[in-house]
Amino acid sequence: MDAESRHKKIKQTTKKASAKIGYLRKTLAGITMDNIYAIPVRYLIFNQYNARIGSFIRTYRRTRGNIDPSTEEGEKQIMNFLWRSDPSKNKATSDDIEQDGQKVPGIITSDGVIIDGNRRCLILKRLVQKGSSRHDTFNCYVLSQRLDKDPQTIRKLEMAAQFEDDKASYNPIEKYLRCRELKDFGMADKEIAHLMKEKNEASVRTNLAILKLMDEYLRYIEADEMYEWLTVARLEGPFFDMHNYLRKPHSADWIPNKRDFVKLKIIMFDLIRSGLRKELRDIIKKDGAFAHKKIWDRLVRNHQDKIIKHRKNEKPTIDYINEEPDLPDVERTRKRENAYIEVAGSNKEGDAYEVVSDMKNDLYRENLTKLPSKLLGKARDDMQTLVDKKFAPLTDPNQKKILQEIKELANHLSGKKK
Amino acid sequence: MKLIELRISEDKKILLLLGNMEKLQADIILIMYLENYGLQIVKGNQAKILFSSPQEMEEALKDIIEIFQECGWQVQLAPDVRSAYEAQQSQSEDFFRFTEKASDIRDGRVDPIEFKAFAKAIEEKFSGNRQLYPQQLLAAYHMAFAQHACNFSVPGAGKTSIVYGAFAYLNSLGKKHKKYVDKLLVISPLSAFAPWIKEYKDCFGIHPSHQVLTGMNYRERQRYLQQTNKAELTLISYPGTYHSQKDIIRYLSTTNDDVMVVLDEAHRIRKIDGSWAQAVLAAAKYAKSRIALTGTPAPNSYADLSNLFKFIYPEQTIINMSVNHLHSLSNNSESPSVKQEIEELTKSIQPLFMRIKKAELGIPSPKTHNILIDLPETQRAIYAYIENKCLVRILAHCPKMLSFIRE
Repeated sequence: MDAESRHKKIKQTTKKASAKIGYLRKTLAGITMDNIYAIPVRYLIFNQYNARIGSFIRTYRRTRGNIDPSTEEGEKQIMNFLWRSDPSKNKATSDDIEQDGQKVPGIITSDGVIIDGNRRCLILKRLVQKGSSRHDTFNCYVLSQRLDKDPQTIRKLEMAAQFEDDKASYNPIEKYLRCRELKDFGMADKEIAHLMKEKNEASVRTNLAILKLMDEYLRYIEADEMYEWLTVARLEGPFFDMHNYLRKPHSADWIPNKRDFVKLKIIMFDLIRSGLRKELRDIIKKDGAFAHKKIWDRLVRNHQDKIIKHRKNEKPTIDYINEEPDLPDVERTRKRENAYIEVAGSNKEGDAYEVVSDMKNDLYRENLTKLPSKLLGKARDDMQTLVDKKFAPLTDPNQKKILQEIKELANHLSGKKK
Repeated sequence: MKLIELRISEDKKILLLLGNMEKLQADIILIMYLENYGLQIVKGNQAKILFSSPQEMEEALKDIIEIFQECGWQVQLAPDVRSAYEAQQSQSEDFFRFTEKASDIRDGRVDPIEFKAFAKAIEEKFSGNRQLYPQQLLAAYHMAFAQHACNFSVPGAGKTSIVYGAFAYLNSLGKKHKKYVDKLLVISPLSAFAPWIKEYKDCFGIHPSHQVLTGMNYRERQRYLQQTNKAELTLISYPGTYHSQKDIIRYLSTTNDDVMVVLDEAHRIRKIDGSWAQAVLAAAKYAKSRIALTGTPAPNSYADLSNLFKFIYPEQTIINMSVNHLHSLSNNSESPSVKQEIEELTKSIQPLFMRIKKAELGIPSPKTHNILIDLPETQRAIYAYIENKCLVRILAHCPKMLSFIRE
C-alpha cells in the first residue's frame, strides 16, 4: 500500500467514532497529541530509521541495498530485525500483549509510518500472522504530519519518542549510531546529550569518537558498516576501553609520533580480532609496552613478522560473497573472522598469542629490574613517615622486634653476613 | 606491482599521489597512515594531501615515503619531490653535525683561528668597561655558533654579558650573513629590565636605544611592534608577551629586522600548558636567533626542561621523552636504569647549553672583614622593643633559654 492510500485509509478510520478509544494528553518535541485511535495494523508500515534496528539496517544496506518497508519483502526484513534485536524481551512483550492487549499507545504519522511503538506493532502483526483477530489494531496517537511532507519534524519527534523509552532496551552499538545520526541531522551536542539522556556534551563527543574507532575497525576487517557484527562479537567494551587508552596514553620513555599512534591502533585492532582483548591493557597501561620504547619496538617487529602476514594471506570478503551470496552478512563476517582466528589466533599455538606472550615477558623483565628500587623506596618512605610523625624512639617490644627484623633484612639485602 | 608517484603542486602545499587508486584504497593499513596526514582520494588516478605550508610538507615527506615503503609500495619521486626530500635529509644530517661541533665548543675544543676572529670581533664592539672572562667568551662563542642556545650559568656568572657578546659577534657578520642579527627582544621579569639596559652600556660603552613595552597599554604596544623604526633593545615581560602574542609573531615574521629573542629567567615558561609558555613557544619559530637563560633550568623536575628546548629548537625533537616520563625520572633518580636514562637525556641536551659555575670564573674567594657599627637610635629602639617583648615570653615558657642566650 502506498503512502497516499495509507493516508486515506487512516483518515477514514479516525473519522469513525468506534476507532477513537481514549484521550490522554501527551506532548513530545513540542507537539501535543491527545486522542488515541485503534488503527488496523495492515495500514501501518515500520520505520526503518528506528534506533533499535539501526545496525541491522546499515549492515543489510551495505550489501543488499535499501529496504522499502511498504513492500511485503521489506516488512518481512524489518520484522526479522526487530525480533532479533532482543528476542527474549520481544517474547515477554508478545506474551503480555497476547494476554492483556496493548497497554501503551504508540505514535504514527498520518500516512501510517510508526514513529513510536515499532516493537509493539511487530508483536501485533506477528499475532495476526498466526491467525489472531483480536490483535489486528494498533492503539496510537495519529499525527497530522506526513513523513514525506515534513520529514524534519517527524524525525525529531521520532528521536524524542525513542529516547523516552528505557535506554537499556537498545543494543549498545545503537547508542553510538543514533548519536551520529542526530549529529548529521544538524543537532548541537548539548541537544543530543539532552535527548539521549547522556551526562553532558563531552559524553556525546566520546560516543562519536568511539563510533569512529568502530568504523575504522570494521573497515580494517573488510566489514564496512556491518555494525551488527560489533553486537554479535560483543565489541562495545573493547572499543570503549581502546578509546580511553588512546585518549590518554600513559607516560612513555619516548615521544611517539603520528605514525606510532596508527601502529598502536593497528596492533590493538589485531588483538581485538584475535580475541586477545584483555591484553590491550598490557600495551597501554602505565608501564605497559607502549611506554617503553625498546619493548614497543620489539612488539611492532613481532606484529609485522607474525601477524601482518596472516592479513596478507586472507581471502577477501568479496570472495566470500561470491561463494555464498545468500549467506546473511553477519554470518559471512563470522566465517571470515573465524578463519582468521584459526590461523592467527589466540590459542597457544597461534602467532598472535606468541606475540603477546613475548610482550608480557618483556614487560615482566622490565618491571622486575625496577622492583628493588620501587619496593625499597616505598619502605624508606614509610619509615620516614614514622620519623616525621615523631614516633622515635620506638619502645614497644613488638615494634622493636620488627625493627630488628628490618635491620637483618637490610643487612641481607646489602650482602652483609650475619 | 604497487607503484606510486609523488609530485608537488606549484604552490608547494599539495602533495599529489599518482597511481592505481583502487589498489591504494584497498591497502587499508596504508590508508590509515595516510589519513593521519589528511589524505584525500581524488577521482581518477590521483589522490592528494594538503599542507598549510611548504615547510610542513617537506617535514612530512620523509614520513610519507617511509610509510609507502613500509607497506610494500615502490615510490617514484618527481624531481621537485626528490630535491625537497634530499634538502630535508641534509637538514637532519646538518643538525647532527652541528650538535657535534657545538659539543666540541662546549668542551673547549675550538678552531683557534675562528675563535680568535670571534674574540677580536667582540673586542672591537665592546668599548665599555666590561670584558668577558675566558669562560664567558667560550659561552658567547658557543651561543653565537649555535644561534639558538641555552645558558644555565649560576647567578652572577654574567649571562647578560655573554648574550651581548654573542649578539655583538652575530651583528658584526653583516646583513647578508644568514646568522646576522640587529635587534634584541628580551622577555624577562620586570626587575631584570634595568640590568639589561645598564649592562648594555657596560659592554658597548653607549646607552642603548631601547623600549620597555611593559607599562604601555595594549594599543601602544601594538603600535610600537608594528612601526618600522624600532629600538635596538626591546624589553617585555612574560605576561606582556602573552597579551601581545599575535603582534610579536607578526613583528618577528614580517619585519626587516633580524631579531634575537632572549628569554631571561627562562624557567618561567616551564609549565607545560602554561599561557606564558604557549605564547613564547608560538612566537619561537619566527625568531632569527633564540636564547634561553636561567640559573635554575629544572627547579622541580626534568620536565621543566621540556619547554626550554622546545623554545630554542621548535622544529626538532631534542628531548625525546614524554613529560610524564620526565617527571618519573625525577622521582626515581636513584634507580640504576633511571640513572642511565638521565645520562641519555643529559647527552641529548648537552650540546645545546652551557653552564658556568662561579668557581670557573676565577673570581678570588671573598675575604671577610667584620666591622662593628652601633645601631642608629631608631633601629636600636625597634630592636630593644622586640627583644624585651619576645624574650620575656620565651623565658617564661622555657627558662633554660637564658643560658643559651648568654652563650
